[in-house]
Amino acid sequence: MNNIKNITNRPEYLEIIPSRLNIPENTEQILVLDNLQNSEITIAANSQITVIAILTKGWEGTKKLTFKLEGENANINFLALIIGKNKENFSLETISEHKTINTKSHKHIRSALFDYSKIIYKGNILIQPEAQQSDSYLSHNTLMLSEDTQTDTAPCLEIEANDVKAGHAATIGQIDETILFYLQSRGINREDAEKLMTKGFMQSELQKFTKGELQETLIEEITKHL
Amino acid sequence: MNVPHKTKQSIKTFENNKFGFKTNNKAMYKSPKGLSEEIVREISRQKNEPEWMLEYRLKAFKIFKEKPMPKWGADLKELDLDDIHYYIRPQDKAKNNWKEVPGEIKETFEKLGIPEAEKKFLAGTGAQFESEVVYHSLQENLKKKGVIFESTEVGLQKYPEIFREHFGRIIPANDNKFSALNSAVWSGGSFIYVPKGVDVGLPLQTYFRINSENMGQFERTLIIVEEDANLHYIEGCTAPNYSSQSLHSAVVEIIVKKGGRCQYSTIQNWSHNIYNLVTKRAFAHKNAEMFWLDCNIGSKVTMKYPAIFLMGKGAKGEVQSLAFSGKEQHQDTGVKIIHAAPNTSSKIVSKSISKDGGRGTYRGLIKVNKGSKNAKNHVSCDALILDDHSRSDTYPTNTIAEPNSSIAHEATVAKISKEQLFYLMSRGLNEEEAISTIVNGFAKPIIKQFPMEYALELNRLLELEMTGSVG
Repeated sequence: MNNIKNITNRPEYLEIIPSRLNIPENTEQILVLDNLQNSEITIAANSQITVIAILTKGWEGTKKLTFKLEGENANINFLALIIGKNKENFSLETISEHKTINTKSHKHIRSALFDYSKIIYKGNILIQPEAQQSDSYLSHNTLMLSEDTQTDTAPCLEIEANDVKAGHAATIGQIDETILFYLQSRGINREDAEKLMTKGFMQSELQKFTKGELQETLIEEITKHL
Repeated sequence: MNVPHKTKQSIKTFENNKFGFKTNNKAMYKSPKGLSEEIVREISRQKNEPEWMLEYRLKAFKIFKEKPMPKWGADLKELDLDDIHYYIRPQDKAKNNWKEVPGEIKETFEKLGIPEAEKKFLAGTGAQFESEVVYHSLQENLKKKGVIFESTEVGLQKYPEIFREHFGRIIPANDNKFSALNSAVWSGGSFIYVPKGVDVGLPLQTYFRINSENMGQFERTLIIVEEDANLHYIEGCTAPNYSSQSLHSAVVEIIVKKGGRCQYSTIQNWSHNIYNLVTKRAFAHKNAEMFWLDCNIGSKVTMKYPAIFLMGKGAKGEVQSLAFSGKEQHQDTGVKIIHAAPNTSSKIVSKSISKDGGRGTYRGLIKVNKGSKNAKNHVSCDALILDDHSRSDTYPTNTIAEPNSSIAHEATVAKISKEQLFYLMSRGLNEEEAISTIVNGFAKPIIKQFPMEYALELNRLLELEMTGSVG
């Protein structure tokens, strides 16, 4: 991910996310990662953090990310794009704790699994009674691109306030045969057609959170791993 | 305005304590509180059971003692398993003529409107009072076609071969602590057998009633739907309001063979001191269809996750559920579906309403085994939270080992918006009626699946729960 360092107006690229991270008031930050560690991220009032993780190397055990939305108008976007190959194993857990009013957390996981790779995801959104008017969403979409891949996903919600917007979604499937057929009829071989679709699958989520040079760089990065 | 007028009328005619009465009934036999091997033996002796069943019970009792209480799900700390009567026998033998049922018991069910319901639109009825089935009937023409609808005890005595072939095969005693408990002390429940190709047009129903305090009801239901047969079974549950708790822990096993269809509908309206810990599971074979329709309105704590194992090609499963959690109630419900064959499909719709500090939980598992090609599943969960001290949780788990499948889950949590209320109130409803109308609209897609008489009853129950929702 070296070219990320060269972007003007650049996001912070962290080689390793620290086990504790405090986002002070009134800041806006974009964080790009290529691995996950256990970490607790606390967000103060009127701050926004966007964490984008492009994960292509698996790990042992489960990595856990906890987001604590401590201040009013704290806002977190988390985007994990996972490309699993060989026997890579991705096991992660995310928790968002909404502790006060008007907090926002949107978490999206997209995983494309090849070969013998496997993903285990457990997501939880906790909305405490004080966290009225909070807005949260959790989604996990998976493409299973080989016979021997495995998906285990549990996007959960625990809601103790009533004036909230909360939702979650999960889809698991593979690329539509008719689309692959169409691309092949245009002279693109099956393997490339699959890669093209996978790229689009990742790109569509990325476009919601990034723009300009950063977006282009990240798309390049994804393409490299396909 | 049509709706609010009806609402008012029905609330007026439907007294708050419709199910709250209790009957003074002297039991023929009542086991002392707590559970021991002696009691298990005594139950088996009183039922005059074959040796294998006694052994089965004793084995299950051992498993029950060894298994720890579940550490997940609802809070069961207040449930004292030593403070419960495990077996109460209200009369000596199940009757099949309503006139022979003892007066006090008859009175109970007459108050609940059971004989009336039977006359009108049921093909058969059973009534269980405490531990025993007190009454069973089935229409003549169905009997002639070979349909069996008996209490589980009679099923064991009269049809030992079919019974032994299927009993405990879907839910073994060591499945969980409460299935072990049920296997040890089961009493009552229904045994239903629908022969090949027979369509039981009208629903069969059993009505469960707990009348005593500190009582445990452990009915055991076994349903076998043969090839291309069709059955709809309805169960209803009530109990009077006592101050101390009772336990209801049923096991329901269903086998739907090739091309058959089974619908199992539940209206659970236990009083708010009952722990309802139930294991329900169905096997659907090739091209068979299983449908659980599940409404949980009563009880203190419910833990119930109807399961469907899609065992044969083309099998279909569907679960639609509605849970209402009011004050001090926790409805921990959900669905478990295992896709174990190709071309299987399943659909889940779950709706929950929480109010007055109640807690509604959806806990689901979708599993697609490797090789179940072309499996399809869709889950949708909606929750409505009516005030700021109630709670709603969703814990869906999807475990997929077959890439050639399509799984989708969606969930939303909402509250009643000010705009909706304002609109209805501008049409002349007061706030309470407006909320009640919205809640009924939310629940309607599930309720309308019931036969009309039940749908009306459910609507009334919901309205009743909703009264007083505005201070």
